[in-house]
Amino acid sequence: MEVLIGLEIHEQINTKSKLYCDCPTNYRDVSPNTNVCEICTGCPGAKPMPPNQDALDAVIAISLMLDCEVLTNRPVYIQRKHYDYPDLPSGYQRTSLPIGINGKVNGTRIREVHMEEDPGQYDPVSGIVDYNRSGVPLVEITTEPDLRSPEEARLFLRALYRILDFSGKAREEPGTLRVDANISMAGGARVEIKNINSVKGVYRALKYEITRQKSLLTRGEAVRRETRAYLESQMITVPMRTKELEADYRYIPDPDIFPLVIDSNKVEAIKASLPEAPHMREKRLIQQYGIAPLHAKVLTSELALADLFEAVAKKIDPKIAALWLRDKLKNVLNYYGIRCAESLLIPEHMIELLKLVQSGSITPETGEKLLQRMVKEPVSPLKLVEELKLTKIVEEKLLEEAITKAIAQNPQAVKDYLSGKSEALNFLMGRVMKITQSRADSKVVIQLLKQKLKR
Amino acid sequence: MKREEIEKRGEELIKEFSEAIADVKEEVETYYVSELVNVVRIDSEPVQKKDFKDKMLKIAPSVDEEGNIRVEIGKWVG
Ligand SMILES: [Zn+2]
Repeated sequence: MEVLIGLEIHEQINTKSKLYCDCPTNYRDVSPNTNVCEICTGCPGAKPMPPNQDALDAVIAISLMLDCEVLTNRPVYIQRKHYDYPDLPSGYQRTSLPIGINGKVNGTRIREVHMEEDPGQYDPVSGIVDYNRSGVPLVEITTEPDLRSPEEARLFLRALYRILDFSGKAREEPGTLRVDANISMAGGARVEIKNINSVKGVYRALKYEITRQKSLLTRGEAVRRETRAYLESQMITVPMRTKELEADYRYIPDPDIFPLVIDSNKVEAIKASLPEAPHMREKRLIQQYGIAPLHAKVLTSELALADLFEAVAKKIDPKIAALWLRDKLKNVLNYYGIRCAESLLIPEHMIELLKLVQSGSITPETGEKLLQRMVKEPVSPLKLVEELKLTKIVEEKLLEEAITKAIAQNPQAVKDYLSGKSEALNFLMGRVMKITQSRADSKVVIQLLKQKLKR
Repeated sequence: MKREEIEKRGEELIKEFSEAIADVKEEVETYYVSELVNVVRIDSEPVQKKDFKDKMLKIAPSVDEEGNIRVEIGKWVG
């Protein structure tokens, strides 16, 4: 059964003040209903301020990075899109006519790019309303229904998110991405799923919806045209009638806001100052630093990581830097469940750390342990090594002691090794590392263990 | 005043007004607004409005201790 999926993606733009008022945009950092004024809470008679220029420029830049044609030298009206929902105090959301059209990402056609204002936050489960977010600038990106499966949707969103990240215009915090998905199957009507908050959520909502529609169609029942909500906690979609269908939005140009006419010279200027697209940067890293394509791919999965790599590669052999960032740092980030942009690691500290490892002052194992701390606090590894006395053990006497201790404490492993089980040696090495707090050179330890336990 | 009198006086007023504006030159209608485009503002340091917050929460139907406004819960999640 053929499946057609189109997505509508909303991502916040990183400005200091909101789109039509000068309230702050840091809505996560303040208590509920703090960043609010007459304008962003839609008080009767409140006139919006003129649109935030930086938000508009960001939408133009993003359109260009999505390979869109930017519509120049014609009026782009700001429209009022009406709907009735507790997150929308004025009863309408301001959304621009298309600014970019006909783009492409990973072979999926981008239909339109708009500039919008974010509504407030309403939690239908608790009935809580917070207007801090109301009026934060958004870019809205709609695709053609080119996606054929949840997997394709996931890959597309990852690629799109990478571009938004590399544009430097989107908000860094996770969870700012919001997606509505349209899905239709042969013989059924188009169903819209609202308010999905993550790439994983899109994948799950689509999987659920395909199963639901398939089972209706195979039983000979109709798939109705409707809007459904995705319930994250239960991983299902349910019908939702509060938000209306497209025709009911009653768009009108906002009489309080003058139309925008984008000058083609301005577009050229923005084009000239665009940051490097992620796929271009991936290619460049391979060529310029001679690193493996696989490493380059991981390093360009996130702007902050790519920047960190290039800063470190100025002082450290790029291949070693790539290996450490791709493996060790990525492991630590995954362990904490954070992105590189959220870590407190700075390039100077990473360079310091790798110099310590390269000079043999500390073992790679110690380096990894230090990295775990450096991601969470901006501490100099050199200082940590001195404070915690983590330098590599070079005195053979100390090593001997640790090895003797490990052998004495683990007779079974010794027995196993002597009876031919080689992996027991690794276990013993692990014990030695534990006793020495990873300060021993693992290669030396293995050698010494072999000598001690001659089979 | 009687109804007929009012009607008569009304007619007179219209006639007088027409005579008064007879010499005014006819002009093409002017749309001041539609000629203005690209009125934008530069993103600047934001301003928090504490007094507005207090006023708004005072007229909200229901507010919890954290400052959230409380409204109906969604029918589709119940
Ligand atoms: Zn405001």
